[in-house]
Amino acid sequence: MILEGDTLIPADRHAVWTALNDPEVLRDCIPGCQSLERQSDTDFTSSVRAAIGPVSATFGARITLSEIEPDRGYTISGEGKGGAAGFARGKARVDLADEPGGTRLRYTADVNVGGKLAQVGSRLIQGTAKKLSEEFFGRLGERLGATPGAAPSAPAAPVAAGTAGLSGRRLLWAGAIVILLAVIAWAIGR
Amino acid sequence: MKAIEDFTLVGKTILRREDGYLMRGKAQFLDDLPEPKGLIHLAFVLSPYARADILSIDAGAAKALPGVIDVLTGKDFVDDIKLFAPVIEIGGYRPVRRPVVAVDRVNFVGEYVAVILAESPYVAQDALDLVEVSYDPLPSVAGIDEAAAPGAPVLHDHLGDNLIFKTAFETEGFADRFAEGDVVVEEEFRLGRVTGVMIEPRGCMACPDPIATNMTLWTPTQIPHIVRTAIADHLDIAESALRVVTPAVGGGFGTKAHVYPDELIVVALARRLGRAVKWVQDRREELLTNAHAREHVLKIRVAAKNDGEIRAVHLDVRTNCGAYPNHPYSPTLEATAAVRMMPGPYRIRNYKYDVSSVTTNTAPTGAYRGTGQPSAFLAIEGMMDRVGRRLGLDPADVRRRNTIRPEEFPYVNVVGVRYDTGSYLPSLERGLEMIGYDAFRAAQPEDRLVGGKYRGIGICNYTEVSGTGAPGWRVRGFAKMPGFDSSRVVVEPDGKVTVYVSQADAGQGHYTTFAQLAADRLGVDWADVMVVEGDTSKTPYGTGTFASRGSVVGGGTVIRCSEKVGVKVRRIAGYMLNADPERLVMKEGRVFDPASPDRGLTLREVAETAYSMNNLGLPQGEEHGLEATDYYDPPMVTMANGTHVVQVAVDPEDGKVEIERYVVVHDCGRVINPKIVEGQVHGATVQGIGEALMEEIVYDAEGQHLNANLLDYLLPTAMDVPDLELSHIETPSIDTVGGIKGAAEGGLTGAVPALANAVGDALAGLGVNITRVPLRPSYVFEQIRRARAAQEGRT
Amino acid sequence: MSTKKVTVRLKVNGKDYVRDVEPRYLLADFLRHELHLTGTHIGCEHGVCGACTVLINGKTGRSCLQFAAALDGAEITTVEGIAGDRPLHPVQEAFHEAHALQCGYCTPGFLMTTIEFLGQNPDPDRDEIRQALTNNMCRCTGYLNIIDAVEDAAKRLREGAREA
Repeated sequence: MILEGDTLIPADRHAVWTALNDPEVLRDCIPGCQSLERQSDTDFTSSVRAAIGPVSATFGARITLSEIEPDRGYTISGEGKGGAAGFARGKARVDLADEPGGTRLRYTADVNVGGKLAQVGSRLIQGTAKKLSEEFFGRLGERLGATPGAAPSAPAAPVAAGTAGLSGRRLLWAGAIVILLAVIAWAIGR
Repeated sequence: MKAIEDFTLVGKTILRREDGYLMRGKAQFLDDLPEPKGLIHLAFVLSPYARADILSIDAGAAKALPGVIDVLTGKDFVDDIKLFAPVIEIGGYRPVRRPVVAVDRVNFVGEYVAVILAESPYVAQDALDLVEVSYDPLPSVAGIDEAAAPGAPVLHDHLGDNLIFKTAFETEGFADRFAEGDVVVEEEFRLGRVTGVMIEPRGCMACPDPIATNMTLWTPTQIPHIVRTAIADHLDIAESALRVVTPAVGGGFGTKAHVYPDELIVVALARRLGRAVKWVQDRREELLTNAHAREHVLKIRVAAKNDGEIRAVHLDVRTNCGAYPNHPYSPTLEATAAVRMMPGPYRIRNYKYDVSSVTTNTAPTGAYRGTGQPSAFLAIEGMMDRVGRRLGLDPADVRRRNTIRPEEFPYVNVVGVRYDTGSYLPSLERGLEMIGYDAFRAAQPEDRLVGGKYRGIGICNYTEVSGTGAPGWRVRGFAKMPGFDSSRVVVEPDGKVTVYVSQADAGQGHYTTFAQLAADRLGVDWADVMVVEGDTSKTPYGTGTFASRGSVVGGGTVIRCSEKVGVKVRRIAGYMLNADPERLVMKEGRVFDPASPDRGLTLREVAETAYSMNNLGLPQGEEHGLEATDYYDPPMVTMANGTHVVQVAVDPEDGKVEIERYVVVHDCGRVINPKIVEGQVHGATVQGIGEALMEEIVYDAEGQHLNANLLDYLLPTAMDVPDLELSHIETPSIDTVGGIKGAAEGGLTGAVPALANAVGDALAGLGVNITRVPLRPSYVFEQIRRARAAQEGRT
Repeated sequence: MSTKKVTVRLKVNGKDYVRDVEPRYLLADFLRHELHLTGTHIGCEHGVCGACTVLINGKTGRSCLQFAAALDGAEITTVEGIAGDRPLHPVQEAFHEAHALQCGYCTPGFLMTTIEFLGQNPDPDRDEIRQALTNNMCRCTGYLNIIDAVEDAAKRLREGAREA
């Protein structure tokens, strides 16, 4: 299934790019992330605890970055396995662009899920993904120095604004996905 | 045999004796049975992949969990369970066998990969999460078109491709007859994949009996004897050492009329471990692994004369077998039903069919209420409407033109099926009249738009195959499907009656209706007749309860067997009364000569003589006891019929189909218990509404099952059901005992085409062509949106 | 994954029970396995089909979705408690006479729903009945005879109330 979306992150493009390539930042920002290790310049392994509806599991994921254009974007491909809960495979393209007020992050993901997640989790994934992606972007925004006094809800607000124009099914979910790791966890999701 | 008109209890609504214990919560369904000491609970590790090689299975952590007894894989069953397969002998069928638990390779999501044995069901579930299976996913294929395409992944190497079944038929001179049509109308219809979704999921429990050294399998099946034979075959157990018992069964609908791998597994494990073994499936497993049904593609070409006469029909049916053939039917069941039932109530003499089935990486498909008939009638009834539209004729008139008339019975159809009696035209006419068809058509505007909604009417005039006997199964290749059912009727020493029937009730009310039949023949109060079913150790062998055969074959044998016992009752009573047995009648628990009714005997007095409980002795040559056994093999089939006429309103704002009127005319021959027949018609019709408007199992292109839960697989609720306007016609069969025909499936068969045709009629003004079910709002909305856009584009 | 057991006290069909069970033990399992009240059936285990419906402190609830431990102290009525060993309750009588059950697996849930519903709405029309039954699934009857039965049960209960 194809998922697309975008969000405005209140930081400059280089800062966003750096964050998206920093395992430590990602580990802190990805909800449920238990570990994220860089195995090489382009390969990561991770474990993410995710609960989608009635299915909750720890997903072991492998992620590879390709088509890397520094400060502009990359393609994430990955696979996450959650044992009895099922699996997810996916690919996401992430692009960054300057925009007044920060950096516009766009993503297109193509994700397949299987097993229990697909069977009983399908309808719940959107809700879960929305929550997770808001959380991720919120934390990322904070991390990138959105000044607390200026706009306490700033991290969440841009997400809402960015996705408002999209049809329901394209939203958020994607947001989550974008987060590489997420490909898995979420991907997992969907 | 008494004339049919002599029935006194038949045709009367008697309230069911089953209801009391069911409503008090005292019935024992499988999971309600007392659990034997030392019971082992099973849980299955299911494949998350549609097709993959199993590289390794690490059950170390699961085995270490307290309460886990063992974890077994496919290889652990290779020695004691033979590869599982139905016995099918028909040209064009290519056998495929499967291990009951996958060995090295999985072929559908949900296939059993490993078995947890645990002390409690909770622990078994916990252990599922701890079994680590490493898979190497392989390319997979889910759809019929994709599986048949060149280069598709092939499931079973020995077949070379995915074609598991293919056959064809053609009447003499077909091409010439087809060419005689003034017009040719073509269409392709598709039905979604559905399944029974009994509210009680399946399960089974095997209990070894160390004293008798035999085994009892409790399983809520519709076919206990066939289950026993299949297990005996595959496990090398003597049939005499295996007893199959059905507890209360929470709905069957054909889904429980299969033999499933888990039934073999629990028996094999109970035998191996000497402990009772139980497994109960949850709803996700139910939707993933029980036999699915339909997913048919029907391409139909009809040659018609200008007056609406159907000159010739060519039907091409393609079905999805799933990963393996189901047991005991294989995919030939639905495939051959669809092509053989298509002629229905119509005078179609020139017919050609092609039918095929492909294996795919999806759950095996099999029997479900209606079997092939909703598909057949979706096609032919859809064509009645289309021929009408093409020729400018009223679709009702096209049907009238082609329907077999009352004076043509008995009628043998183009594939050799005899219609002994029927009310095809009267049923159609009554349905049209009840709904006010002519007035509706007269008032229907060209664009069908009334009050902001598109309104249309749909008709389905159907026949319903029922009570299939041995010839009917043999002709379709079911080499081991007996066809007969049997009973044993015993007048006990106290004059009360016990009736043992080879069938297995799943809610149809056999305990009441069979008692009615026996009581009627033996002249006793129906409350004095007990019915025993669903136990291979108590009843003689038989085929079971599916394919609308319960009342025809089960009822038929109970009538015959009761009459056999009645002959002996009268013989002994004649001896006791010094009267001619031929003159004696049985009524109100007594046996007497109508000429001197006061000088009679109670049934108990006769029974006491038969059981040597007095000093009267028996006539010379008479054996003790008062019972008989009967095996009844009915004719090839008997054909019930009926008509559904439906009026719908389609809301262009959301695509929702609202049923405004729903008329059912129903003819199942002799009615045993009207209220119970009504219940069958209601239930089947509503399942048909589900199949037509909402139910569908969805697989993605790779074979991932996307809705194995009841939030996403939509069943009709009370809100979705209109009040049905129901009318009965009673045209008794002249071929079956008692004149009985089946009643369980016609409701579903009628509903699917009638609703599709009604929506098609409502949207005909827009130019929308309805060719598939289910017609979910999103689909209908999209069709309307496109049609409107196209219209705007033109103007 | 064995967990420490907790003590649960429930009053079920008028009788007090105390059992030590795992905190994750579902009310349905508690009733069925601990108390052997197997009339409450499990159909989907995700709160959709309604077969497991019981009355919890007088209100219908899904026993397959609730933990017994979370209901400590509650009063539960199951299908076994409707009439006990006494003659059938008017709602049961109405179901019987309308042929509102076939396999009967879903019936306990329908009975509990109906009893609660008619307590709140003693004189419902058919649309209100449909609405009230929408959270219980039946695969055999097509619902129509159940709707008839609820209509008839309402009448019986109203008449019973007048006589009383």
